[in-house]
Amino acid sequence: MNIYKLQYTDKATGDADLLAKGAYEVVEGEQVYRNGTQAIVYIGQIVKVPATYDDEGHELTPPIYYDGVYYDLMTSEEIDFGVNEIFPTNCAHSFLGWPQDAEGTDIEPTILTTP
Amino acid sequence: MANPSLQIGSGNWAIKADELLGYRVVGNKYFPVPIDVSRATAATRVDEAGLVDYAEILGGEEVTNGDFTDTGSDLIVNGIFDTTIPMNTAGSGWFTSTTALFYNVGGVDGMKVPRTTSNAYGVALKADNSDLLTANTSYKISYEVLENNGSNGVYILAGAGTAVNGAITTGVTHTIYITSGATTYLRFYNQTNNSDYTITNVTCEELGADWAVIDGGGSVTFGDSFAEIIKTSAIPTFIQQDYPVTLGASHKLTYTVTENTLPSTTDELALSSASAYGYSPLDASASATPKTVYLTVTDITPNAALRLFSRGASGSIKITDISVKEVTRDNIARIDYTDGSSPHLLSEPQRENLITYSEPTTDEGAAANITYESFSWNIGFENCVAFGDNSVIRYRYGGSVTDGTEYTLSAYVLMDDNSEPVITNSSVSGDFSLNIGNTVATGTNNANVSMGNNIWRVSKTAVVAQTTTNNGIIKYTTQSSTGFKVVGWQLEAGSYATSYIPTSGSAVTRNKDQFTRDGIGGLINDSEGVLFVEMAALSNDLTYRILSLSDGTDNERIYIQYTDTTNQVSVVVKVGGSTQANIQHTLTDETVFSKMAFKWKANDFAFWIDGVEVGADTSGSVPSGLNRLALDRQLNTNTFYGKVKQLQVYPTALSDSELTILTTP
Repeated sequence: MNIYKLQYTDKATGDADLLAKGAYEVVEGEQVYRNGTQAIVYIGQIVKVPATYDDEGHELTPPIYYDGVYYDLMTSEEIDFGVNEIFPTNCAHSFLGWPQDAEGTDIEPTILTTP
Repeated sequence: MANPSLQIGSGNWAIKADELLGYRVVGNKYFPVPIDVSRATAATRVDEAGLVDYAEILGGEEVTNGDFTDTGSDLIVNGIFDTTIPMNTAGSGWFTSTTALFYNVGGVDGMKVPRTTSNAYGVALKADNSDLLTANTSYKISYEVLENNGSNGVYILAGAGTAVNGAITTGVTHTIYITSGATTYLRFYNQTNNSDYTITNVTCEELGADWAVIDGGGSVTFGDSFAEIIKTSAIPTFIQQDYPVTLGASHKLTYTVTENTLPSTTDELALSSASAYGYSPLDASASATPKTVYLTVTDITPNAALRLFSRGASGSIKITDISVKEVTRDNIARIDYTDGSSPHLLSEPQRENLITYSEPTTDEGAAANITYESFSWNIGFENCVAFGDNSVIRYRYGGSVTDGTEYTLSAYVLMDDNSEPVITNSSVSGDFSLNIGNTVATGTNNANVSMGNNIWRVSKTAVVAQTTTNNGIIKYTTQSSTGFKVVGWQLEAGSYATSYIPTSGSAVTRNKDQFTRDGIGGLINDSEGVLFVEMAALSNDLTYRILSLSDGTDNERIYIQYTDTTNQVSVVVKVGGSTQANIQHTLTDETVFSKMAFKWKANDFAFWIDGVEVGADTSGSVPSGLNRLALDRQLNTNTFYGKVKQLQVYPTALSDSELTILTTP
């Protein structure tokens, strides 16, 4: 299985690139995976510096985000995403049963803990 | 009634990697028709015991002698003391001082071991001449006492190791565990002046069979069903067992620590950095309860081995009941037992838990006046977030939501007074509130789901009006005084809560379930038949969720579906892409199980639900080339998300009386 971690300037750009590369198609308004796609996860913005809050939970300072928006793609296909593919660590998102920083081709799942 | 040509469920559930049991019955014989399962991630369900755990397949046991009860062959020659063999010869197996002698007690051969006041150390009865034992090795020794005349014990010395004073009750076979010293003989003494005892049936078997020992900074002894790692320096000491492993394969390791005098209980037992698993600290706290950890093989060189070791500098740890089994969790169908209901197949959409620590032990966002505690839940969790009484405001938040999107927040809750929790959108009533999108005032609190043992899964669904990380549970001072415990936090985009998705440091996605079976044209009669299913929707979410028989295209199909109308189900026949029949019915609640049957035959279509014909169509042709069963429409579209207790395909159009019987609850 292959897992790609992708960064785009915005969601429209990301959706268009994944569509163009055949990761999904739209059937009667529904996003449908194709060509080996197991999951597309739109992560959106990722927090770089968390917000701060007062004692009653009111936000004092807003979070600071990394640039752009992010996707995780799980697929049995090998796809060249060029500069949009990134290789982060301590990732904000993972797939259940796979290592948190799993990325690349022909990788295997791991087992974390019992729930 | 004719037998179904294809069945799923009906109490007969079986799963293996990538497959769910489908079957057909001919006479009293079952023929498997496996259903293909696809979901490239793990997933949880409620198991038969009511535990929230992963659906998984376990392989065979990889470890031998994991409970340390297996022994090597008997090393003793002539343990029954055959008196026809001359003493002190190789054939006798025994070399003694002059006062020990072969002796017969009531017709049973034995060896008498006397001692007088002049024997400073008693009489040595030495098994074999030398080299009987291996130095620094553990043995299980047994003997039967035939007679005792005043001795206080059978004193046994293995080489230069520590002697053991064995029991001496007559007529009983006694067992002792002993570890040899630097020399290799085995001796029986008598330490009581003016006494003698006679023993027979002596055996000596090496312990720790199948386990290799690397002493390092200490030693390992094997005893009565345990291995003890004794540490004298921080250099690791190992017990090791080799077996074939596959790179990337996941394994379930279970073990029990019965005693631990090492200075730490968390980092003193580990898997070797030189093993296939990489260094993994293990919980080494002593407890009669077995511990479980899941491990993935990350390296198969240089050693493919289970290699437990201790890094402690002093003290010892006793371990037993070690088991390793390969585990598979991807592409495993889930049979769910939520709320003690009869088992059903669970099919769910892709979902992401946005809470990054679903079983938290620390804050991940704003929080106040809550504590993180160890707590053993009856549904399988081992910690909780404890909310106390209403003396102060208490809350815990996490996860990130986006303005304009619908989310569902869920968690498992146990009230301190064992009552069912009352969740409200008001800060002045109920026990507590669920906060999604930085407000408790909006959204729908869904019905609590009983998990048994007074544990409830609570949830709330809301469309958020701001992008925020203030999502969680809050208890106001103006709500009830009853405290509660929480675990299994889950925040997911969607209109209803799905099965629990564990997280530990990141948001985590569980992929969608897919169930298909192609190439079963021989089991589906195009011209007539019945499609029967007992099922329930996960939610009245106003989407099409289809369960179909088809030729692999949209053109030729027979299907049952939940529709985009509230609580509506319908059955549809497509021929050449044209609708031949479309019979709709509105249920009271589509999330409640119903028995539905659709009969097809040219110009004779009928839809039965729970014992009643709810609609019919007497005009229309039937499709051709039906050869595929799928819990979707086609090509991953309109996937069936729901619960299925049973599904049957009949090759004949059943009669009304048969359909009544088939569908009556």
